[in-house]
Amino acid sequence: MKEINYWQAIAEALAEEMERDETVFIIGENVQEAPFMATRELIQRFGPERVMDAPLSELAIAGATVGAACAGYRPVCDLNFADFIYCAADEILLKAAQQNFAHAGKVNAPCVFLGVAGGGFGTGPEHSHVPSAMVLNNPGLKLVLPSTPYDAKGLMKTAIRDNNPVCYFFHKKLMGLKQEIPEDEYLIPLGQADIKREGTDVTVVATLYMVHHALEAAKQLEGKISVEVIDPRSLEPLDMDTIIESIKKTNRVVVVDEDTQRCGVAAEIGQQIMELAFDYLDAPVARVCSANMPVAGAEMEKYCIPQVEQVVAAIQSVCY
Amino acid sequence: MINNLFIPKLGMTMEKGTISEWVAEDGDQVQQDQVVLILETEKVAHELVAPSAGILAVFGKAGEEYLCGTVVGAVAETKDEYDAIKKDPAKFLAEQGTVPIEMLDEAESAAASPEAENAAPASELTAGDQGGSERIRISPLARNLAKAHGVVISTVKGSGPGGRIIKRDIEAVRQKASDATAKAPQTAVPPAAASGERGAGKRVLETIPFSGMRKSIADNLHHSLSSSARVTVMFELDVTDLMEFRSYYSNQAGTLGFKVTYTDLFVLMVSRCLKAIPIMNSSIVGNEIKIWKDINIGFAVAVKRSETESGLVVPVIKNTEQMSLGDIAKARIALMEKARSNTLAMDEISGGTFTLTNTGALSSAGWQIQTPIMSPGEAVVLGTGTIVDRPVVKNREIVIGSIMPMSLSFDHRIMDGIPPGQFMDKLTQMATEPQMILI
Repeated sequence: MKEINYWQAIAEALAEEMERDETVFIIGENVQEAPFMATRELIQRFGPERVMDAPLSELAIAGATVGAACAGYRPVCDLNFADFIYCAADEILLKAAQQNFAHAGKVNAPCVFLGVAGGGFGTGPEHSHVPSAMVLNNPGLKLVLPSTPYDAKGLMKTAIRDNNPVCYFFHKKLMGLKQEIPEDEYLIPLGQADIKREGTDVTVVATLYMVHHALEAAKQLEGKISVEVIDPRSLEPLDMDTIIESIKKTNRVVVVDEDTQRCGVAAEIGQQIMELAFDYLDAPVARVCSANMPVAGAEMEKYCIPQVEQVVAAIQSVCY
Repeated sequence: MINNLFIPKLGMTMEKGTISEWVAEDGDQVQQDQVVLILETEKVAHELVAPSAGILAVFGKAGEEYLCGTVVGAVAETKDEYDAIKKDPAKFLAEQGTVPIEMLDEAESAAASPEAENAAPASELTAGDQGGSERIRISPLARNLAKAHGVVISTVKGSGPGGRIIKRDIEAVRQKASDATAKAPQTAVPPAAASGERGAGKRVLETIPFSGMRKSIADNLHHSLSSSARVTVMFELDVTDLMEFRSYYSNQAGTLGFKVTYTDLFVLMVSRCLKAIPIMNSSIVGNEIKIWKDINIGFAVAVKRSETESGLVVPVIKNTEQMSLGDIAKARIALMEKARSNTLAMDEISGGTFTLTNTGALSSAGWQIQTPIMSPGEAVVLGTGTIVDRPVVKNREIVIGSIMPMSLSFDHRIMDGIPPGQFMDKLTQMATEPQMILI
């Protein structure tokens, strides 16, 4: 085992996959200097042809990514902020997502769209989103949301090897998070939830940084309410089986998601719970999401995105 | 979703039920409310329906007897669930446990008849019968548990927000019921009515729970009365010679080792009559009249269960058509013994085809005519009254005769007056000339 932090895990996965497969390359905004660390030090190992800085046009970068993917490469496209997916929307949401469908299964677009997501630093309305719902609303894209270094590495390796376009959002607040991971190579399949904490009274479903809010809430409630925390790790594919199994045990559920509440991930998961496990519910499904408003910057941010106290309150509200 | 199928409690004294047959087979796709098994009880055959649509898993065996509340089957919504159950049935059954009998009592009124069962969801949704009109708030899980364990939710108080019934409340009711079971013997004596208690403007002397055996008898009789077309014909038997006939055996009691009673004689005579007039030994089953080959005579016995609980049981002597008077007497003695010690088994109080009720000893004033009620599912009941000496005309002379009043109730749906008439003739012939019994 070795201790490694979150961004190192991502960088290590990228390096291992680039080492393993020469069709893997990185293209993006300032990927050689890597302000968000994920591609740090790769330029020294793999050179500018495989760690490619591009002009600041997200649409062009994403378009090059999709084209290269269709031509047989496995590009990793680093848009820096996940919010910048809006600029590249046509290439990612329509072209990459629908390539295989539009060409009757004859053309694949195996690529990864990397973006740092979420709030916590007061970076304002254009740099604080976790645009999960938008991705999920465009069938053809997979969505990976790692919450730990171990998951970040194993999921990145799987994402690169996947024959479909995968959006991979990692979280600003988790950069320094450390964890021991195996020395040997490992992969984590997409669509396999992880029980981050076992409990018996209530199930909390969360991804990314919200997993840590849920774990903190569980800790605060220790001795009073036994909280089970489930991290789906990928929302497409989504492992509902693990969630339902947990609900059969706890009969209560809170879904925590950092994306906007309206038409969001929590709404989707809540609805599926209702469809699949209605008879096991002893309380209505509760959700904690970002408010239905732009994410405010600086000090006001905390009124927009989920806080630990809200998660605690939601858990208490269903544990009557 | 998996819904269990368990032996329901259909009467207060019912503790066990026998699976008569599975109408649907293991692995069958069944619809909700489809009849899947026939349960045999002390009263009648009862049809159990699938609690939901899905694949039927069968655990209980036909012909076997099970305690009320035992899970004997399940309906799995999906093939995966079915496979999971069948993979380790023992584990599944162990997880289900049994449904506490007291919970079944509460569900009894709802489950007793198909009509009531159909009406149940409506009464579950509204508390209208309690005078309120508010919708009952209950979590899906609690509703599911209540259904599985037969808890009537209109009687449950919810502890969730806005009075919502949740899992905890259903479990509390079940816990209370199982506590009550443990305490039952001590609390059987009803408390004397508080002084000054009034009901409907009248002063109450004592309050007796209308439950247990009393309720069971009430249900049985009411069911019979409301589902038959009873006609009672009264006649008198001159039993002067029959008394003499019986006294012969009484004198031989030492040698025989048992005493012959009027009941034994009537069981024998009635068996002979039924053999001659088979329609008197029948039942309506569905849209058919079944004439039974077996002649199984039940006789009503007064029993006392506890200080407060007394009532009737009807032990059944089976296949009396093949029995001698001695066989009948011995069988009757054995059953009486069990009735008094409260150890009658279900099959000893079920399966009757004809019932005798002797009320002769109930009043020294002389119990005359009566209108007995048939046992449920039977076509005829014969009530015998107190023997009194009366002047009778024999060969145009007035002599003293010992007269036993007879009341014969029959189900006019099954027969008209001719068979009962023939029955009376045949019985009269044997009773007045007991030598004819042997023919």
